[in-house]
Amino acid sequence: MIDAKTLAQINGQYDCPSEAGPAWREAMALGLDMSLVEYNLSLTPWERLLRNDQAAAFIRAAQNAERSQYGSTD
Amino acid sequence: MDQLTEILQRLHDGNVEFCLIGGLAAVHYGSTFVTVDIDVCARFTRENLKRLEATIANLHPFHRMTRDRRPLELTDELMASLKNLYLGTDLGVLDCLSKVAGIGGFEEVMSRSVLRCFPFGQCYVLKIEALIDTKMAIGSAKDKLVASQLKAIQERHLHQKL
Repeated sequence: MIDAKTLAQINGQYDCPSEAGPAWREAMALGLDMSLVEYNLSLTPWERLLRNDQAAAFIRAAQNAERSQYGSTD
Repeated sequence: MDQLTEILQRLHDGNVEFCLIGGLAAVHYGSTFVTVDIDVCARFTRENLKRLEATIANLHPFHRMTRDRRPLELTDELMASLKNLYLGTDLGVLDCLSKVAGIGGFEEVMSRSVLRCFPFGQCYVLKIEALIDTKMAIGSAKDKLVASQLKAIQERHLHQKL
């Protein structure tokens, strides 16, 4: 039997750590997904940079695809 | 293909005097905001700028803010009046600044930087508290959000040290 709290987490509700300080809670209140920050903090700084490279490459590829389909917006 | 980490490595290997600032420094600390450029504060001396030019020479660097995508060609005349370099390269965008908002020039930036280890060696990265200061000084909506994340990350680091 899964309890309600665990079920909510499975469904994507962020469980703010009890030890979270005011800055963490303020960032949450601004709508920032702190579960992603927690994930990032589980990586090494170098792994974070490599993941950014991958994301940046994806963004660039999407921009290029849009440009080739709809033309330059310059 | 964006490979900002390779640009970082090239700057390191080319003995360019620089400090990593901006969005990539924020990513390094754990920010989730993806950035498509690498921002550095560099010493704007003739020698350092020539090292920078040499280390990215085969990446077809150009002044990305010029409409005609003018190739990077650092003459003595140009270097004497340079404050920033906004460059496009085959590996992505590289912005080099001589001053950083909320902090100051290269020496002030270095005094608020820390040496961090990467697989290729060590690079200076702006300290998280200084990065927050500059993000707040820039003051755009996005920069304020990044600053909020960085404050939360800094708080967590401080809490873990207690």
